[in-house]
Amino acid sequence: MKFKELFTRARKLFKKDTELPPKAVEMLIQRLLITQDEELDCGEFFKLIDEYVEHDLRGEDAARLMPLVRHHIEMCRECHEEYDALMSILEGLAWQQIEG
Amino acid sequence: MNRRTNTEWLSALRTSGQAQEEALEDLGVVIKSGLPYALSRWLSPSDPQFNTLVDETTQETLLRVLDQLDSFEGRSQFTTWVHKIAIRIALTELRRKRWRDSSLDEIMDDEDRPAPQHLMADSTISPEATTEQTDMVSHVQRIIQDELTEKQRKALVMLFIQGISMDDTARKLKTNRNALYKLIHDARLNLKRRLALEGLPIEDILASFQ
Ligand SMILES: [Zn+2]
Repeated sequence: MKFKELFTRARKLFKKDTELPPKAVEMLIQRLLITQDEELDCGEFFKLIDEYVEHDLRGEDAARLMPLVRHHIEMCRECHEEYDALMSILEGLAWQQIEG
Repeated sequence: MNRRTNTEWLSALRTSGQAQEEALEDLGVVIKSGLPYALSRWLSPSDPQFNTLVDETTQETLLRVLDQLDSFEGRSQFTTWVHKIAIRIALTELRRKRWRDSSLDEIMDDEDRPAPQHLMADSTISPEATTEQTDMVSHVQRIIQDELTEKQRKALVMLFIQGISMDDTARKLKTNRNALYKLIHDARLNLKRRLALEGLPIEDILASFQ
């Protein structure tokens, strides 16, 4: 009994078993609904995002033209923020020009 | 300020002397006029740090643009490509600041420190949850323990629970943002495959969290 206790303690010390809290499990499972075999990583997304926003601003269906880029926007918080920021800049500057 | 086509921007920036200086100056104006639209969501324009961030980001962007000029593929307006680089630089800095301010280093390095109660408790499961529901949740938890590596689970806790940014999580795990995305993507694919194998519809699992 003592030995078993010691063993468990030692195991805990050396092997850090992270268990996901239910909240994280739920978030992970939710993302499975939109998980695809082929996805862009953040670097691949970064290469294409300027082209994507220009489609968007011309009123073209960017999501249909570049579905993997759209998917990454939905999947990745950081890249979503960067997409929003780029849209804000281009829209802001366009307004500035109209207003002279 | 001159309006330039992509080709004109590129050739001016690739020369040296006055033509390049003028192009850099104009490009600096372009960056500075755009950045406030992106940053006002993060930082009040009246914040004393606002102008500093705009100035520093502009300088850093100009250097990076010159350095990476050959990687511009002409997929967009040259200036859109430049704004994109400026955003990456500014937001990376803002995220790093936010991270420093919350002194996350301390939290992360203290292994024994318990996570906040509301996160660890089964807060997503109501007291009236049926045994069926709680069984489902612990079953899925066991599958996750099986299918995901320690590194993948650690990353998910940092991203989902502690709200740490991708860049900072990557740094903590001694990797980079692209590899971290792939790590999580692999985790999702493995989990999805295993759930399909067990005949567990994702919708049913989610319903047990309601
Ligand atoms: Zn991303």
